[in-house]
Amino acid sequence: MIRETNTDESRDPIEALGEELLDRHRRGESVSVDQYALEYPEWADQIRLQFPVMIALEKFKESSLSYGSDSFEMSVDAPQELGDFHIIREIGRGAMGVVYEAEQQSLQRRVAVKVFPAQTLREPGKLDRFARESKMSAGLHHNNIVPVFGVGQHDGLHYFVMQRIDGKGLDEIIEDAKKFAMPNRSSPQTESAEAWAIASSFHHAATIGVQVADAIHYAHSNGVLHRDIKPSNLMIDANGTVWVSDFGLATVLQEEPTIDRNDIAGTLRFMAPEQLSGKHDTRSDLYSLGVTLYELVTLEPAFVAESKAAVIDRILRGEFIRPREIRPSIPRDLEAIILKAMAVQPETRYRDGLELAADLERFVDGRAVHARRIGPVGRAVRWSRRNPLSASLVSTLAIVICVSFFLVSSKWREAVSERKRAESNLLLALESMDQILGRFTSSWMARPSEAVTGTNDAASGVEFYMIVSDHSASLMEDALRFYDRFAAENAPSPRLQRDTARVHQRAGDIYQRLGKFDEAAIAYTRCLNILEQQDDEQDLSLVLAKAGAINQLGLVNHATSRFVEAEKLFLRAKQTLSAKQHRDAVECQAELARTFSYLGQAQWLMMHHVRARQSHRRSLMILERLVEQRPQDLSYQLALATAYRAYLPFAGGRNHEERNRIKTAGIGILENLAEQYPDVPDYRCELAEMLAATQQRAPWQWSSDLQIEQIQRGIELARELSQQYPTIPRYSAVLALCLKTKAQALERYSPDDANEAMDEAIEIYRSLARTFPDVPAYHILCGSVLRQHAHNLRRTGQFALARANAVEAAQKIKVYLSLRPGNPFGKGMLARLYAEFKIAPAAEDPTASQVEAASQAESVSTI
Amino acid sequence: MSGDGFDKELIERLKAGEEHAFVELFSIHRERLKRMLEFRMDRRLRGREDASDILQEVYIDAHQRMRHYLKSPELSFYVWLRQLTTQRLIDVHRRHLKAEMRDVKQEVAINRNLLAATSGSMALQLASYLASPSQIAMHAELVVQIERSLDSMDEIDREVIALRHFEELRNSEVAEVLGLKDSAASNRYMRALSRLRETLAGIPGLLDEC
Repeated sequence: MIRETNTDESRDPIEALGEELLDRHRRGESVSVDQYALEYPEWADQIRLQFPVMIALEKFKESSLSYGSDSFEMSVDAPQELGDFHIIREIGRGAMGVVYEAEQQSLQRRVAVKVFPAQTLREPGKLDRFARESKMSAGLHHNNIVPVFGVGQHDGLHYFVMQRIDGKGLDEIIEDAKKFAMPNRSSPQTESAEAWAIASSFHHAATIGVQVADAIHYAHSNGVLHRDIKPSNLMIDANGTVWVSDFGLATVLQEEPTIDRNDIAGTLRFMAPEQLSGKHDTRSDLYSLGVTLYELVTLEPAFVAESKAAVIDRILRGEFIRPREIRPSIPRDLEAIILKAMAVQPETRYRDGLELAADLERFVDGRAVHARRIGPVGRAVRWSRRNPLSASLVSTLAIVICVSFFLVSSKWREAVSERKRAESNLLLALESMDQILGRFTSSWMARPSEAVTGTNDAASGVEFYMIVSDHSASLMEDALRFYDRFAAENAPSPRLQRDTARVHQRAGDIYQRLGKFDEAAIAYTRCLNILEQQDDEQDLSLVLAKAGAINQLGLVNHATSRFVEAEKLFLRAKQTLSAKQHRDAVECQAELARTFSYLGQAQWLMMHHVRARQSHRRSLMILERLVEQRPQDLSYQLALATAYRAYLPFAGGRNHEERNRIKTAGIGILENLAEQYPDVPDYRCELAEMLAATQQRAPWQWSSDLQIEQIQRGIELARELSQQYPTIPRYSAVLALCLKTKAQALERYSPDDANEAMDEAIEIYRSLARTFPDVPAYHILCGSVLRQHAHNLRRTGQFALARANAVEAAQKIKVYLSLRPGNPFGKGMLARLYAEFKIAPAAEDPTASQVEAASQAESVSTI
Repeated sequence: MSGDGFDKELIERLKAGEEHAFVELFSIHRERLKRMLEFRMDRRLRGREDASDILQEVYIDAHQRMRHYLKSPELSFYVWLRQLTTQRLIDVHRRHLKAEMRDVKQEVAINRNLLAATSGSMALQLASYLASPSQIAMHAELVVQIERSLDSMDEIDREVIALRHFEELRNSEVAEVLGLKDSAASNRYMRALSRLRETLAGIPGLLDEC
């Protein structure tokens, strides 16, 4: 001590001795009043008077502090009668009451009687509930459930009579095992050693889990929830049988079980997260069992913190140390089972006790368990981001989509029932779903990934995307079924609708890429139908989404040569974009420019040259301004280059300067993009197309070496793309286009090279026409090349081959005409073909070049 | 529990600049401080305030004033900590009860020096222990009896009982806290025990088995 205390002689000697007595008592020594009285006979009288009061006061304190100062605790010092029951001794106590061993005198059997503090049942209605719940518990007959004999009342005291189980609480077992596990603590007692044996045998732990899970399942199927599964409610008897006690009692006895109490060490840490907010269902019991098993195998509480609030916080966040980090010897499978049972989201836990028991049994038998750590959606997204591309992932990701769906559904229900709090979670879940689906879209082919995913270090190369294939389309379809079912089952929400629309749009994009225009049209139409329901003119993103979908639908129509419908759609998109107050927004302007460009192409193919030219000019005007304003925005650059290409046929004529400027600018933009983003196939494809398009020339002109070089480069780019992505028809079509262009450039002075290129182009078109018989453009393109080839062959004297090509050409054009009856192109070309190959070849007539150009344009349009 | 020798050694180490000793010192007394908080905290605050949170603040306070304390320790280390804790507790009570000033009854009156152990709360705690089946009917009666007995005591005597038993202070510490001489604290304790005995002796079976 810091202060001097030499005043012992003036202290009351009894008090000084008492201090010693209390010290020893508090240290856990057994001290008796008699002992002191005998040792200090001169003060014996005083000792016998005062010491008992001291000890009594200590006892008061122990009882009042150990269970929170407000809760009433009971104690029996001497056996008492309780109706038919003769109380023998106290065998345990808890927050809810004291358990006594008693003899039921009428039946002469030993029972356990749980007596409840009177005030717990004092509230109106509680007694009825208590009676009801007890009756239900009494109806449970299971090998692992402590049989309930009945309830009783005596002198205002309510009690609950159960079979007396001669065993040890699992909480004691855990405590004893802890002592044993700590080597420097006291001498290892046999009890500890036994307890240690239980805790350290993972099979044993699992067997305990199986029994409890079975019991829980049985009770659940009888409509009884336990609500307070924890080690102290599990008794293990000498045979190793587990007995679950106190079924359903927590309901009646605690309004908000244990939350109000001050002791952190209580049962709080076994409570499921949802229970903390007052909800409890069958899965909450499974969760508590999970935590119990956690403590049994780790000998550590799963949730510990300085304060109750912190414990609650950890439970809600599911923050605990993984079992294997505490004890690496814990088998992975057992850990997986525990973690699954302890999942924060009830939906990710085991469905019922049976499933949990079965998995634990699998573990005991050494079979593969079902518990897998498929984490929350967020983790799945992270995972999908980190893992390298692999074809086998597709099926795994299909599972992820399933899981995500369930999560999204559950979040949704939460959001509906709980309005605010879960709403943000729901948004997160939808977002994650969206991101996962984003992996399967085709957008990565059209623009750099950073535009999709934000600030990812491009150099790290961790992004991956799935090859666009039928598989990704079917995944999209699966996801759509989810969303549809989801929408059918749940309250409508703009957010959900928007997401669903986006999936439709993505499905449409994929189908369009794959050349499945009918399916694409259906998808875009569905997307539009959903978006049309949301009429919010204020919402720029909605306006853009709508216009985008309309344009895509227009392009699909365009690609299948339905130009009239395409034009109508493009005009509708234009109206959507310009009628709203966002028309000055940059994004709106950009979409408008694209719309004009599409419109121009459709109009041109319908021979509305003046209008087409006008549309193209408007598109260029807007885009040139945008690119100047925002030089860093790649999508504007790409749009401008594409618009340049579409405008090329109009830039010809006498104005060579304009044509050259557009040519140079277009190639420059695309060269730059392709070089900067070698991962974006569309950039290379656009470049190849541009290189082909700039070759268009009057037939009487000779091609320069530079032009040959350029078209050769186009061929190389397109060939690489079509090899890399064989399922994407656009890339093959561009390759054919480039080959055809090269053949045209060479036919005058190197007919053999030209024929070779022609052969390859024809082969590609044939294959496209075969694969996509519904797309008119492939047939006419094929016919057109075949006709050209026939000319070349005849020029080099291969008349038989020339005729064969001409015949095939005629067939293709007829197919085209069957798809587009009465089409003047087709009719004209067929007529000429007949004329050319029945009669002597005529000189090229000027209209032919226009037809040629139009068919070129059509080839572009299918892309 | 109080471990004076241990305190002394740690304080020497702390003076020698060993910061870690402070953590050890605090953790030795933490449990006792917590018990004190739980015992003294107004019942109405128990759901809202957490003893551990208050102790966290006490820890910071103590750490800040450590140097000052070491220069001229007038109190033993525990009593000093207890004083800081009492301060904090008073602050907490002020904060909560200010809004309900009108309800502030005599029993929660905030005394500058001590949060008095009231007869009512002590009686309730003592009586709650006695709720065995046979005694339960007597429960209400008991509370009244014990309360009356505590009420009849001198306020300081009552506090002595609380400190000795609920806070587990030694006689010398009680003397420090209450500003009494050791002999006075000792005598008051014995006097209070005698008074309680009269009441408790009337309850069958309570004092027998010791």
